[in-house]
Amino acid sequence: MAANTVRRSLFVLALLVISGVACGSADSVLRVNLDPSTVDSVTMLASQVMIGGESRTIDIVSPDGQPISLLDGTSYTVEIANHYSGAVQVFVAGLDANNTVILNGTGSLDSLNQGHLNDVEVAWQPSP
Amino acid sequence: MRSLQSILAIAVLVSVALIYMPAFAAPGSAIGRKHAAKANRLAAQNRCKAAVVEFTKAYRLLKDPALLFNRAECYRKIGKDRQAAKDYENFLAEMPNAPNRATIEARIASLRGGAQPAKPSGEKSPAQPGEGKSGAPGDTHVDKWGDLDAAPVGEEKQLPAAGSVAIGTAAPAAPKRRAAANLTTQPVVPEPEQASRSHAWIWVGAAVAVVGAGAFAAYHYRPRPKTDVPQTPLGNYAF
Repeated sequence: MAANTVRRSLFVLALLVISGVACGSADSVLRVNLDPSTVDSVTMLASQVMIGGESRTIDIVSPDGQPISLLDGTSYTVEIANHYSGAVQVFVAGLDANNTVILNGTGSLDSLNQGHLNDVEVAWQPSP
Repeated sequence: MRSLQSILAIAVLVSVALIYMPAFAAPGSAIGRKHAAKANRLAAQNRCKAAVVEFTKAYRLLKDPALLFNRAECYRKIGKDRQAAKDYENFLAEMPNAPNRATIEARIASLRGGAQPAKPSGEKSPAQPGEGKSGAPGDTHVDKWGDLDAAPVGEEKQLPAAGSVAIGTAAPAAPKRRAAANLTTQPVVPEPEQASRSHAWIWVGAAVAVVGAGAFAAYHYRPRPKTDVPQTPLGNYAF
Protein backbone atom coordinates (compact mmCIF):
# COMPACT_ATOMS: atom_id res chain seq x y z
CA MET A 1 0.00 0.00 0.00
CA ALA A 2 2.85 2.34 0.88
CA ALA A 3 4.49 1.64 -2.47
CA ASN A 4 1.21 2.38 -4.17
CA THR A 5 0.91 5.61 -2.29
CA VAL A 6 4.39 6.65 -3.29
CA ARG A 7 3.69 5.77 -6.88
CA ARG A 8 0.48 7.74 -6.90
CA SER A 9 2.16 10.67 -5.23
CA LEU A 10 4.95 10.63 -7.79
CA PHE A 11 2.38 10.59 -10.55
CA VAL A 12 0.64 13.62 -9.10
CA LEU A 13 3.90 15.46 -8.61
CA ALA A 14 4.91 14.68 -12.18
CA LEU A 15 1.57 16.06 -13.30
CA LEU A 16 2.22 19.19 -11.28
CA VAL A 17 5.66 19.63 -12.76
CA ILE A 18 4.39 19.12 -16.29
CA SER A 19 1.58 21.60 -15.77
CA GLY A 20 3.99 24.07 -14.20
CA VAL A 21 6.40 23.78 -17.09
CA ALA A 22 3.60 24.14 -19.58
CA CYS A 23 2.41 27.30 -17.88
CA GLY A 24 5.79 28.68 -17.11
CA SER A 25 7.18 30.14 -20.30
CA ALA A 26 6.98 33.77 -21.23
CA ASP A 27 4.62 35.19 -23.82
CA SER A 28 5.75 35.85 -27.34
CA VAL A 29 5.93 39.37 -28.71
CA LEU A 30 5.37 40.31 -32.32
CA ARG A 31 6.69 43.67 -33.46
CA VAL A 32 5.03 44.79 -36.68
CA ASN A 33 7.22 47.25 -38.59
CA LEU A 34 5.36 49.22 -41.23
CA ASP A 35 7.34 50.41 -44.23
CA PRO A 36 7.48 54.14 -44.87
CA SER A 37 4.76 55.62 -47.04
CA THR A 38 4.02 59.08 -48.30
CA VAL A 39 0.30 58.66 -47.73
CA ASP A 40 -0.48 61.05 -44.92
CA SER A 41 -4.22 60.73 -44.44
CA VAL A 42 -4.36 57.42 -42.66
CA THR A 43 -6.42 57.82 -39.51
CA MET A 44 -6.74 54.15 -38.59
CA LEU A 45 -4.89 50.95 -39.28
CA ALA A 46 -6.97 47.78 -39.35
CA SER A 47 -4.56 44.96 -38.65
CA GLN A 48 -5.33 41.29 -38.92
CA VAL A 49 -2.84 38.94 -37.32
CA MET A 50 -2.99 35.20 -38.01
CA ILE A 51 -0.96 32.71 -36.01
CA GLY A 52 -1.22 28.99 -36.48
CA GLY A 53 -4.67 29.31 -37.98
CA GLU A 54 -6.05 31.69 -35.34
CA SER A 55 -6.80 35.23 -36.27
CA ARG A 56 -7.34 38.50 -34.40
CA THR A 57 -8.23 41.92 -35.72
CA ILE A 58 -6.65 44.92 -34.06
CA ASP A 59 -7.71 48.47 -34.78
CA ILE A 60 -4.97 51.01 -34.28
CA VAL A 61 -5.46 54.73 -34.05
CA SER A 62 -2.93 57.42 -33.36
CA PRO A 63 -2.66 58.09 -29.63
CA ASP A 64 -3.17 61.82 -30.22
CA GLY A 65 -6.09 61.34 -32.59
CA GLN A 66 -4.14 62.82 -35.47
CA PRO A 67 -3.51 61.04 -38.80
CA ILE A 68 -0.89 58.35 -38.48
CA SER A 69 2.39 59.42 -39.94
CA LEU A 70 4.00 56.76 -42.09
CA LEU A 71 6.67 58.92 -43.60
CA ASP A 72 9.46 57.36 -41.60
CA GLY A 73 7.69 54.11 -41.09
CA THR A 74 6.20 53.13 -37.73
CA SER A 75 5.54 50.09 -35.64
CA TYR A 76 3.39 48.45 -33.00
CA THR A 77 3.67 45.32 -30.89
CA VAL A 78 1.32 42.43 -30.28
CA GLU A 79 1.68 40.25 -27.17
CA ILE A 80 0.87 36.64 -27.90
CA ALA A 81 0.22 33.94 -25.33
CA ASN A 82 2.97 31.36 -25.16
CA HIS A 83 0.94 28.46 -26.44
CA TYR A 84 0.44 30.03 -29.86
CA SER A 85 2.84 28.75 -32.45
CA GLY A 86 3.23 28.34 -36.17
CA ALA A 87 3.33 30.62 -39.15
CA VAL A 88 2.49 34.28 -38.73
CA GLN A 89 0.72 36.45 -41.26
CA VAL A 90 -0.08 40.11 -40.83
CA PHE A 91 -2.46 42.12 -43.01
CA VAL A 92 -2.69 45.85 -42.48
CA ALA A 93 -5.16 48.19 -44.08
CA GLY A 94 -4.82 51.96 -43.80
CA LEU A 95 -8.14 53.78 -43.60
CA ASP A 96 -8.83 57.46 -44.00
CA ALA A 97 -11.37 59.55 -42.13
CA ASN A 98 -14.18 58.16 -44.31
CA ASN A 99 -13.15 54.59 -43.50
CA THR A 100 -11.94 54.08 -47.00
CA VAL A 101 -9.02 51.76 -47.46
CA ILE A 102 -6.18 53.80 -48.90
CA LEU A 103 -3.26 51.47 -48.14
CA ASN A 104 -2.73 47.73 -47.97
CA GLY A 105 0.21 45.85 -46.61
CA THR A 106 1.22 42.31 -45.70
CA GLY A 107 4.02 40.62 -43.88
CA SER A 108 4.73 37.11 -42.68
CA LEU A 109 6.97 34.83 -40.66
CA ASP A 110 7.49 31.15 -41.30
CA SER A 111 7.31 30.35 -37.63
CA LEU A 112 6.73 32.25 -34.42
CA ASN A 113 9.67 32.10 -32.06
CA GLN A 114 7.75 31.34 -28.88
CA GLY A 115 8.63 33.33 -25.79
CA HIS A 116 10.74 35.80 -27.74
CA LEU A 117 10.51 39.02 -29.69
CA ASN A 118 9.60 38.46 -33.35
CA ASP A 119 9.91 41.17 -35.99
CA VAL A 120 7.71 41.18 -39.05
CA GLU A 121 8.05 43.71 -41.84
CA VAL A 122 4.93 44.93 -43.57
CA ALA A 123 5.44 46.19 -47.07
CA TRP A 124 2.76 48.40 -48.58
CA GLN A 125 1.15 47.54 -51.84
CA PRO A 126 -0.55 49.96 -54.13
CA SER A 127 -4.22 50.24 -53.22
CA PRO A 128 -6.60 49.43 -56.08
CA MET B 1 -2.91 31.43 -21.47
CA ARG B 2 -5.11 31.91 -18.43
CA SER B 3 -7.70 29.48 -19.72
CA LEU B 4 -5.01 26.88 -20.34
CA GLN B 5 -3.75 27.36 -16.81
CA SER B 6 -7.26 27.04 -15.44
CA ILE B 7 -7.83 23.83 -17.35
CA LEU B 8 -4.54 22.43 -16.11
CA ALA B 9 -5.32 23.50 -12.56
CA ILE B 10 -8.71 21.81 -12.69
CA ALA B 11 -7.20 18.70 -14.26
CA VAL B 12 -4.59 18.47 -11.53
CA LEU B 13 -7.11 19.03 -8.75
CA VAL B 14 -9.49 16.46 -10.22
CA SER B 15 -6.61 13.99 -10.52
CA VAL B 16 -5.66 14.55 -6.92
CA ALA B 17 -9.27 14.15 -5.85
CA LEU B 18 -9.71 10.96 -7.87
CA ILE B 19 -6.47 9.48 -6.64
CA TYR B 20 -7.06 10.22 -3.00
CA MET B 21 -10.81 9.80 -2.85
CA PRO B 22 -10.58 6.16 -1.72
CA ALA B 23 -8.21 7.19 1.04
CA PHE B 24 -10.64 9.77 2.29
CA ALA B 25 -13.70 7.61 1.86
CA ALA B 26 -12.38 5.04 4.32
CA PRO B 27 -12.06 7.03 7.56
CA GLY B 28 -15.82 7.14 8.20
CA SER B 29 -15.93 3.48 9.12
CA ALA B 30 -12.67 3.65 11.06
CA ILE B 31 -13.94 6.59 13.10
CA GLY B 32 -17.23 4.82 13.55
CA ARG B 33 -15.44 1.78 14.92
CA LYS B 34 -13.55 3.99 17.32
CA HIS B 35 -16.79 5.49 18.58
CA ALA B 36 -18.29 2.04 18.91
CA ALA B 37 -15.30 0.76 20.87
CA LYS B 38 -15.40 3.81 23.12
CA ALA B 39 -19.12 3.37 23.61
CA ASN B 40 -18.55 -0.22 24.66
CA ARG B 41 -15.86 0.80 27.10
CA LEU B 42 -18.12 3.44 28.62
CA ALA B 43 -20.98 1.01 28.83
CA ALA B 44 -18.65 -1.45 30.54
CA GLN B 45 -17.91 1.20 33.13
CA ASN B 46 -21.64 1.76 33.59
CA ARG B 47 -21.27 5.24 32.12
CA CYS B 48 -24.26 4.75 29.95
CA LYS B 49 -25.09 8.40 29.36
CA ALA B 50 -21.73 8.95 27.73
CA ALA B 51 -21.97 5.59 26.01
CA VAL B 52 -25.26 6.60 24.41
CA VAL B 53 -23.57 9.61 22.84
CA GLU B 54 -20.81 7.42 21.45
CA PHE B 55 -23.25 4.79 20.22
CA THR B 56 -25.14 7.53 18.43
CA LYS B 57 -21.99 8.77 16.73
CA ALA B 58 -20.98 5.24 15.82
CA TYR B 59 -24.40 4.44 14.41
CA ARG B 60 -24.39 7.57 12.28
CA LEU B 61 -21.20 6.37 10.65
CA LEU B 62 -21.66 2.63 10.60
CA LYS B 63 -25.44 2.18 10.36
CA ASP B 64 -25.08 -1.11 12.11
CA PRO B 65 -28.28 -2.25 13.81
CA ALA B 66 -26.27 -3.95 16.56
CA LEU B 67 -25.39 -0.46 17.74
CA LEU B 68 -29.08 0.37 18.04
CA PHE B 69 -29.50 -2.65 20.23
CA ASN B 70 -26.58 -1.64 22.40
CA ARG B 71 -27.82 1.90 22.70
CA ALA B 72 -31.23 0.59 23.64
CA GLU B 73 -29.61 -1.39 26.43
CA CYS B 74 -27.92 1.75 27.67
CA TYR B 75 -31.09 3.78 27.45
CA ARG B 76 -32.83 1.09 29.44
CA LYS B 77 -30.15 1.16 32.11
CA ILE B 78 -30.44 4.89 32.60
CA GLY B 79 -34.21 4.70 32.73
CA LYS B 80 -34.95 6.27 29.36
CA ASP B 81 -37.52 3.68 28.54
CA ARG B 82 -39.12 5.52 25.66
CA GLN B 83 -35.84 5.92 23.81
CA ALA B 84 -34.88 2.36 24.65
CA ALA B 85 -38.11 1.04 23.22
CA LYS B 86 -37.65 3.14 20.12
CA ASP B 87 -34.15 1.80 19.57
CA TYR B 88 -35.33 -1.77 20.09
CA GLU B 89 -38.05 -1.14 17.53
CA ASN B 90 -35.59 0.35 15.07
CA PHE B 91 -33.31 -2.59 15.67
CA LEU B 92 -36.12 -4.97 14.81
CA ALA B 93 -37.01 -2.88 11.80
CA GLU B 94 -33.42 -3.22 10.64
CA MET B 95 -33.26 -6.88 11.52
CA PRO B 96 -36.76 -8.21 11.13
CA ASN B 97 -35.50 -11.79 11.13
CA ALA B 98 -33.69 -11.49 14.43
CA PRO B 99 -34.10 -14.88 16.11
CA ASN B 100 -34.78 -13.20 19.44
CA ARG B 101 -37.43 -10.93 17.97
CA ALA B 102 -40.11 -12.11 20.38
CA THR B 103 -37.84 -11.47 23.33
CA ILE B 104 -37.11 -7.95 22.19
CA GLU B 105 -40.76 -7.35 21.49
CA ALA B 106 -41.50 -8.42 25.01
CA ARG B 107 -38.95 -6.00 26.27
CA ILE B 108 -40.43 -3.23 24.15
CA ALA B 109 -43.85 -4.03 25.51
CA SER B 110 -42.63 -3.86 29.05
CA LEU B 111 -40.80 -0.61 28.41
CA ARG B 112 -43.91 0.87 26.88
CA GLY B 113 -45.90 -0.39 29.80
CA GLY B 114 -47.92 -2.80 27.68
CA ALA B 115 -48.63 -6.46 28.07
CA GLN B 116 -45.77 -8.82 27.58
CA PRO B 117 -46.42 -11.29 24.81
CA ALA B 118 -46.23 -14.97 25.46
CA LYS B 119 -42.79 -16.44 25.28
CA PRO B 120 -42.38 -18.42 22.12
CA SER B 121 -41.25 -21.98 22.53
CA GLY B 122 -37.59 -22.64 22.04
CA GLU B 123 -36.61 -19.05 22.68
CA LYS B 124 -34.49 -17.94 25.48
CA SER B 125 -36.26 -16.31 28.30
CA PRO B 126 -36.73 -12.61 27.79
CA ALA B 127 -35.29 -10.12 30.15
CA GLN B 128 -37.70 -8.78 32.65
CA PRO B 129 -38.41 -5.09 33.07
CA GLY B 130 -35.70 -3.55 35.11
CA GLU B 131 -33.57 -6.58 34.76
CA GLY B 132 -29.99 -5.84 34.06
CA LYS B 133 -30.11 -2.25 35.16
CA SER B 134 -26.78 -0.97 36.24
CA GLY B 135 -25.03 -4.01 35.01
CA ALA B 136 -27.19 -6.59 36.68
CA PRO B 137 -27.21 -10.09 35.29
CA GLY B 138 -29.32 -10.37 32.22
CA ASP B 139 -27.89 -7.34 30.57
CA THR B 140 -26.69 -7.86 27.12
CA HIS B 141 -24.45 -5.94 24.96
CA VAL B 142 -23.53 -6.74 21.44
CA ASP B 143 -19.87 -6.10 21.23
CA LYS B 144 -18.89 -6.07 17.65
CA TRP B 145 -16.09 -3.65 17.98
CA GLY B 146 -13.69 -5.37 20.21
CA ASP B 147 -12.77 -4.45 23.73
CA LEU B 148 -14.58 -7.51 24.81
CA ASP B 149 -12.77 -7.74 28.08
CA ALA B 150 -14.26 -4.43 29.00
CA ALA B 151 -17.75 -5.40 28.00
CA PRO B 152 -20.30 -3.98 30.34
CA VAL B 153 -21.82 -6.79 32.23
CA GLY B 154 -19.71 -9.78 31.60
CA GLU B 155 -22.24 -11.63 29.53
CA GLU B 156 -20.84 -10.53 26.23
CA LYS B 157 -18.61 -13.50 25.99
CA GLN B 158 -21.54 -15.79 26.62
CA LEU B 159 -24.10 -13.75 24.82
CA PRO B 160 -26.45 -16.57 24.03
CA ALA B 161 -26.77 -17.31 27.70
CA ALA B 162 -30.07 -17.23 29.50
CA GLY B 163 -31.59 -13.82 29.70
CA SER B 164 -29.63 -12.70 26.75
CA VAL B 165 -31.39 -10.87 24.02
CA ALA B 166 -28.43 -10.97 21.79
CA ILE B 167 -28.89 -12.32 18.39
CA GLY B 168 -27.66 -15.85 18.46
CA THR B 169 -27.91 -17.38 15.07
CA ALA B 170 -28.65 -15.46 12.01
CA ALA B 171 -31.76 -16.13 10.04
CA PRO B 172 -31.25 -16.07 6.31
CA ALA B 173 -31.18 -12.38 5.65
CA ALA B 174 -29.14 -9.78 3.95
CA PRO B 175 -25.43 -10.54 4.32
CA LYS B 176 -24.83 -7.31 6.22
CA ARG B 177 -27.46 -8.17 8.73
CA ARG B 178 -26.26 -11.71 9.05
CA ALA B 179 -22.80 -10.40 9.74
CA ALA B 180 -24.13 -8.15 12.44
CA ALA B 181 -26.09 -10.99 13.99
CA ASN B 182 -23.17 -13.37 14.01
CA LEU B 183 -21.12 -10.94 15.93
CA THR B 184 -22.87 -11.75 19.13
CA THR B 185 -21.90 -15.36 19.08
CA GLN B 186 -18.56 -14.87 17.44
CA PRO B 187 -17.49 -11.39 18.34
CA VAL B 188 -15.22 -9.98 15.78
CA VAL B 189 -12.21 -8.12 16.96
CA PRO B 190 -12.19 -4.99 14.84
CA GLU B 191 -9.22 -5.53 12.56
CA PRO B 192 -7.02 -3.01 14.32
CA GLU B 193 -4.29 -3.43 11.74
CA GLN B 194 -6.64 -2.58 8.95
CA ALA B 195 -7.91 0.45 10.79
CA SER B 196 -4.43 1.76 11.46
CA ARG B 197 -3.43 1.12 7.88
CA SER B 198 -6.43 3.09 6.73
CA HIS B 199 -5.34 5.95 9.00
CA ALA B 200 -1.84 5.82 7.58
CA TRP B 201 -3.37 6.09 4.16
CA ILE B 202 -5.26 9.19 5.14
CA TRP B 203 -2.21 10.90 6.53
CA VAL B 204 0.04 9.97 3.65
CA GLY B 205 -2.63 11.02 1.20
CA ALA B 206 -3.28 14.28 2.98
CA ALA B 207 0.43 15.04 3.21
CA VAL B 208 1.02 14.35 -0.43
CA ALA B 209 -2.05 16.34 -1.40
CA VAL B 210 -0.84 19.30 0.64
CA VAL B 211 2.68 19.06 -0.77
CA GLY B 212 1.26 18.70 -4.26
CA ALA B 213 -1.04 21.66 -3.83
CA GLY B 214 1.90 23.68 -2.51
CA ALA B 215 4.05 22.68 -5.46
CA PHE B 216 1.27 23.53 -7.85
CA ALA B 217 0.67 26.89 -6.20
CA ALA B 218 4.38 27.63 -6.31
CA TYR B 219 4.46 26.86 -10.00
CA HIS B 220 1.25 28.63 -10.73
CA TYR B 221 2.02 31.86 -8.93
CA ARG B 222 5.75 32.03 -9.37
CA PRO B 223 7.07 35.11 -11.19
CA ARG B 224 7.28 34.21 -14.83
CA PRO B 225 9.97 35.34 -17.19
CA LYS B 226 8.58 38.12 -19.31
CA THR B 227 9.66 38.91 -22.82
CA ASP B 228 10.58 42.55 -23.05
CA VAL B 229 8.01 44.47 -25.02
CA PRO B 230 9.76 47.27 -26.88
CA GLN B 231 8.25 50.73 -26.96
CA THR B 232 6.64 51.50 -30.31
CA PRO B 233 4.98 54.64 -31.65
CA LEU B 234 1.61 52.93 -32.07
CA GLY B 235 1.61 51.02 -28.78
CA ASN B 236 1.19 47.45 -27.64
CA TYR B 237 -1.80 45.16 -28.19
CA ALA B 238 -2.86 41.74 -27.01
CA PHE B 239 -3.49 38.92 -29.45
